[in-house]
Amino acid sequence: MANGRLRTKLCDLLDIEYPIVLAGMGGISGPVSGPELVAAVSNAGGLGVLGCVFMAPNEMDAMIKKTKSLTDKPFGVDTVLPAEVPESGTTAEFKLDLSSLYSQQEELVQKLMKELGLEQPKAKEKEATPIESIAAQADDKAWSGDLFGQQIEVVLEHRVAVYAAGLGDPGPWVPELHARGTKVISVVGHVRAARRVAKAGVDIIVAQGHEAGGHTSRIATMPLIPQVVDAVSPIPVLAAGGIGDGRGLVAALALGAVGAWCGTVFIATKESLFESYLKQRIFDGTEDDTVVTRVMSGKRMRVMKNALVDAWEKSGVPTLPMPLQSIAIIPIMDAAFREQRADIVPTPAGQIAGMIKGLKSAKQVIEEMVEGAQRVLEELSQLKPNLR
Amino acid sequence: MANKLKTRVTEMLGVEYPLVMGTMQGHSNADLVAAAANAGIFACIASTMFNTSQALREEIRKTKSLTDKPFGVNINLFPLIRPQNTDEYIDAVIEEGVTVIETAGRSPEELVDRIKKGNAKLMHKVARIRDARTAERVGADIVEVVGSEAGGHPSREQIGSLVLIPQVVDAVQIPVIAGGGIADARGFVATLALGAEGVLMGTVFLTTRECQLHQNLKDRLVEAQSTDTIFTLRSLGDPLRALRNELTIEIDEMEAKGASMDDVIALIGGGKGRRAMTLGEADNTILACGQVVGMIHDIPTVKELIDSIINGAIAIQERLGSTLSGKS
Repeated sequence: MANGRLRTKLCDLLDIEYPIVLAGMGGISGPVSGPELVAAVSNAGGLGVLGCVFMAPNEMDAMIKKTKSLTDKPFGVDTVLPAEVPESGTTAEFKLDLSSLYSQQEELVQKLMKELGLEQPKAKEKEATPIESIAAQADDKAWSGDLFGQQIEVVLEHRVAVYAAGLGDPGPWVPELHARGTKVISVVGHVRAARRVAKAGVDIIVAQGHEAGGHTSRIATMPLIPQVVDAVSPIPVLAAGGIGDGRGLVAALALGAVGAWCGTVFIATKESLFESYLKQRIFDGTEDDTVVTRVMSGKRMRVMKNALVDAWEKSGVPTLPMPLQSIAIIPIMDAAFREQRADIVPTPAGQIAGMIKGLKSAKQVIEEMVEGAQRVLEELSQLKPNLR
Repeated sequence: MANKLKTRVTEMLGVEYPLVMGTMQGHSNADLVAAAANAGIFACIASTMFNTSQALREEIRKTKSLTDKPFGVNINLFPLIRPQNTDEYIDAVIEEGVTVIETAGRSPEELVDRIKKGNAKLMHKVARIRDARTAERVGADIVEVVGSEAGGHPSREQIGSLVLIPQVVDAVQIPVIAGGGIADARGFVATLALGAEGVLMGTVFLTTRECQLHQNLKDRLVEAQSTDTIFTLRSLGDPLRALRNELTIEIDEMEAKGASMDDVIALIGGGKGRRAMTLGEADNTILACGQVVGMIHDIPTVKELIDSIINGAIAIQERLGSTLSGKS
């Protein structure tokens, strides 16, 4: 653990040492914030959050149990609750919709397979597809309102310290989560959404700015944080989007946040479940190597520059709403994962990718961030007498 | 507040606080610049507001009659509908005894000798890390950098201030003044925490009493949310972040359909936009503003605004200090 203190109200609320929270990053190919990374962050004094988007309830159950075996510190679980997905339905049904209603997109996917030099799977490979997402795994499960409810049942059952809704409004589940002693975090990208979830009784609000990787806002972090803080006070706010070192952490605190929700800086750690060829893309990237696109999920998402995104956008074919877009691109994703195509496999990353140059342990990331923040705070306090 | 918050920027510019009013084309005139200077910060006259170098000289003299504090002049190097004779303007600025010239738009390399011979300092404004390096290499004394949330001309790459500022600070040795997304004391301290030695704020000065923006437009800015800005004039080269209104929505639709620069100039040229600005026709003019527009709630004097930032900064430092002592 780092030397010395760096305590905010968040530390008391969550019983942690430092105001640094791991973003609960999940993905179509499985979690990035998996048990090892979550435990490493919590053991180093921050709060780890499991990324369980796309996971079946039984897989979530196994991940939570594994995390509990690796740490006795508090940790959280993240899923998403987008409002506009179907209430129920199976992947098989969605695929049927694709063929009948969205043939334009289905044809484009086939065309892009060729254009991007991807091979159709051979018959026997179909058995062991590299993507283990809900969408691809079994035709009788689907990404729908029903699944989100089942995921939260698992969270309730395990009485985890924190539940985080990475997207959408966790309001309906707040009373039950609170009854089990679980604190509720909600990630928002604009002031209106912050007001809505504040009213629903969440405990902590993450305000995530335009710089962030993954699903992202139109408003930059610097103007977003103070506005969300003002709108939801006294509910504590975490800053997200563009925070990768001690300077960014102190800036977040100055803006009125009680800590930071960090994703990209933890993707590039030894413990993250991210393929090493994708981590390399982040090390090699500069600040302008990311792009915001609807091609990967149907919602605005920041990823490293990507050949599929370029080709789809050049075609002029509209993207589909969540979750249909993710289902439509399964053939491309399957082939890209199998062939380890770093130019096509989605690599969600924030603009701070340009500041990340090599592999570290999660503990090292936290120590450096805390020590950096302590240095900046010392420097700022030197300025104080002069200000008077 | 007798004492100063000293950085290399306050030393070089000779001001009390490490705060700079972002130059606003069409608004940064003698009255506004002098009010800023008198309140302890640095500001520049926007030379594009003056059709001749003689008119610029007169504005400089007027500013000097209103303040004995230092101020600068901005020379705009963006593509202009009516280009200026840059050399003639720089000579006029130097002859009038102004010692700081601010440039923005493209590399100031060809102007550096002229400025240095006139014993003036050069502050160059950029929106990308590589342009900050270039500014240092060609001889700028200070580099200013703005993130994508800024009003006016942020970079096409859309890099946010929080990400851009520390990387520019790491990339150059000369002092960095940074802005984009800053409206109050919280953003001011955050920017210093990121390593900048000066803080640039523009949009919030549009609604100060001394800014001669029409009351209708000030009211419109007070009402606006952060989502009410738009990138406009993409067809002219460098996109401009401005207030989303009927005109900028129309331009956006035209440009989305592939309108040429000439089509767009036909819509806004011939002084139409400027007339609408003067008359306060809030939907017929292009008003550059940043995403902080959602944080503007009142119409203070320049001095009230600056005092609230500096006093607020002291309070924030006390709050931040408690994170180290453990009194959370």
